[in-house]
Amino acid sequence: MRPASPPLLLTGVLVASVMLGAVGCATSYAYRFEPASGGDSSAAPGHDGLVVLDDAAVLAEVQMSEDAVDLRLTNRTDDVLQVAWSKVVLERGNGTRTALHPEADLGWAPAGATLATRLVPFVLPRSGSRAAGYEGRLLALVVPVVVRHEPRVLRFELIAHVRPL
Amino acid sequence: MRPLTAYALVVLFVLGAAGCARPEFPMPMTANEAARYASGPALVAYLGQPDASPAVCDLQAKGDHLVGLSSEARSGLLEGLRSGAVKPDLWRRCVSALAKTLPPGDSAALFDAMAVVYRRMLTDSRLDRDPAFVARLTALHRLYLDRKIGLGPDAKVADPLFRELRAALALPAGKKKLGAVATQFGQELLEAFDLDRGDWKGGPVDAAAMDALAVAGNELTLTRFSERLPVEALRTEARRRIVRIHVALSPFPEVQKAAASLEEVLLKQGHNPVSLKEHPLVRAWFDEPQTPARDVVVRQQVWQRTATLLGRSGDRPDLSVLPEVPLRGTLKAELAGVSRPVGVCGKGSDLDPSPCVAVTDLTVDNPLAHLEKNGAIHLAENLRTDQVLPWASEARFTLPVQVGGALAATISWGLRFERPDILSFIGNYGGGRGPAVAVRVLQPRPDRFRFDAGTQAGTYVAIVEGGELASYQVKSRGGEGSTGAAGSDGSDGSSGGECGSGGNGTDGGPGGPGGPGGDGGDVDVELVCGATPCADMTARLRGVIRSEGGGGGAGGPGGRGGAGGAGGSGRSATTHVDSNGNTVTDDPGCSGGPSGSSGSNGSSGSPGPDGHGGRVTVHVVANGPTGGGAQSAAP
Repeated sequence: MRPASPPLLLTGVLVASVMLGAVGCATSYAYRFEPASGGDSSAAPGHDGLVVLDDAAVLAEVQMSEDAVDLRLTNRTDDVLQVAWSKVVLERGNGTRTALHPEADLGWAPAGATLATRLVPFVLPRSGSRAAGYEGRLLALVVPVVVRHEPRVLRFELIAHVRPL
Repeated sequence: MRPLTAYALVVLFVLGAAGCARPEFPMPMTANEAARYASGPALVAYLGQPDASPAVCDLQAKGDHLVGLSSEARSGLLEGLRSGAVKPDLWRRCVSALAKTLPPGDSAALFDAMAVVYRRMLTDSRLDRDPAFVARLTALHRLYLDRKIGLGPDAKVADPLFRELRAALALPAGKKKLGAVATQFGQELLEAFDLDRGDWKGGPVDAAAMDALAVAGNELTLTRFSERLPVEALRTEARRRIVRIHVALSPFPEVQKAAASLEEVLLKQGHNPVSLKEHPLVRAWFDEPQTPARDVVVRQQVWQRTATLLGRSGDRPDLSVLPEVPLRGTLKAELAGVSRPVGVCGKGSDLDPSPCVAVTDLTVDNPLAHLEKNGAIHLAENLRTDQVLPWASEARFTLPVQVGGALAATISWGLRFERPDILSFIGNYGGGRGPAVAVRVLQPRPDRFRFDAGTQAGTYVAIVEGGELASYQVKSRGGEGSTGAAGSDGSDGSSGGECGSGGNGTDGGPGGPGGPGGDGGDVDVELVCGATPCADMTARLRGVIRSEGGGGGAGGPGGRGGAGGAGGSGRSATTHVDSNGNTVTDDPGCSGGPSGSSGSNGSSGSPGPDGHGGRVTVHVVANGPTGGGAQSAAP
């Protein structure tokens, strides 16, 4: 086997160092979500990342983790409750919005029924400045519904916190 | 050769980086300019601006738009998505418009190219950790899922990709190549692919399956059926069930009552337009948070006699293009005999039974605006000066919207004229006298001035906001004096002969004096006082309208001193040996001669004198509270 020529070897080492350096600099982060005071929801004590909306017409829970957004919704009326599934969005607090939809197609919630679904596609940056930029950011899940024939928007707000791993 | 390897790498990197450099365009770029460039980078630059409209991609739009999509522009557009230069949602709306309006072959080629990019993105690891990357793939995904029947990639391109995808999704848990997000996308894509062939969950779609979905209120699946099933009758049945779900949910009691008849109307038209004869307008308003608010900035190209409308938003420092103003979702109207406020009819595919105002019943009473068929107001951006002049007297830029011919509601934006180029009429080079200029000044608003200034060759119009008057000028100016003649160069010294000295160079001659600047031409000013007292107007214009002498020409450069002549060459000694064996010198030789000295450069000529200003005569035209009269003033 012929040894690599010194300039080529030098270049290779240089490129490898830069790449390793770049990878080495990217800190990984873990997320935690704290219920925010705005929106229609309130915190569920003792449950990280869980916000609850509870009124005469609907009981809705949103559980957010770094891997998933889960929505659980109970219709407390005597009529159907429809979610505009194609209009559900996550506001990321930086002007961008991500359309989310149920993992599997869903219809309306009949009177007294509960719907539960994971909303996809939900992705958060895991490392580097883009992940760090989520610290303190207000995320809002916006869920338009029709309750008793009236359009209504359910808004669930959480504040993201990131921690270096 | 070896050191060259590292060098070559660097050179290749630099060249590569240079190759990646995006072409620079003057920004903001209007839709008209993007359409004229018609290149991929230009289209991306246009769409990358805040408030850019996807209507530029609609080949049937009323406003400025592309006339086609070359393969280069297609590649550039895809690169615009890949690089993140264009926001995914705007990109999707642009490509959707292109796909619907391009010739079939070009539309298919666009889908082919997107299919290849989609495949590459689906296996990219960023899909599980980069929200922006997911948004880009979502744009491609939605374009495929929501495309019209008959549009799409060629089967030769798509079928192998779908076979590959199906195989990838079928792999057992431990051997999966696709991540969680890619799997979600892939499964949806395959469902759409199967629906295109009439299959759903392993079997054909029938009315019973649709009924079950309707009972469950499952619009999502029914909507897929209505968009994707290959048989028109089945698509219609899916739409019928969506209508029934929407009617059941409607807040309008009149919709519930007329459910049966409405079903046919919605299947035919997609929405439920109200007859304004039967239900006349009571009042209308804009839903403020949903309506874009901007300040219109008029950029004037005075010498071209054109203007460009641009927009300023309070949340960003730079100017951009003006946004389209969608009336759908923003304009609300109360109609006689309708139980609740209504909006503008949506897309046919929405199948919304709510009573609504048809786009065809709307007009915008602004000559610079037009309404696209989707109910969005678009503004002309590239205008002639005479088209913007009427706005000089307006405090705000308004978009009055009429419903059924009656004024319903008005969008009102701020209006400002950007300070144009100074109107400077200059005499010819070489001290030509400035042209005689006639200026008419009007004050269309208390804090805005209009200057109509010109010579015999033509008149140009500039609108200047009062706050910028101090930095503005209208003037006649003498031509610059000609530059003085250059001095003659000195002669070079002669070369020395053998063993001799070189001759000296002679001095350069002095440069000639610069010519005098031309005098400014006479300026005849007519001040037309408006509501402002004439004296105030005169005071504010002091120093704005003027006549200036041209600058004197620069003195000519001095001539170059001649170079000293070269010294002569030396000569070697010569000898011979006589009969006694002695060496006898025949010629002692000589060393080379010295070079001659160079001459001095000539002195520069003196600059010419500046010209004098011409006469400025002001006539005040009686039109204001102080009365009229004529005044004269020296510059």
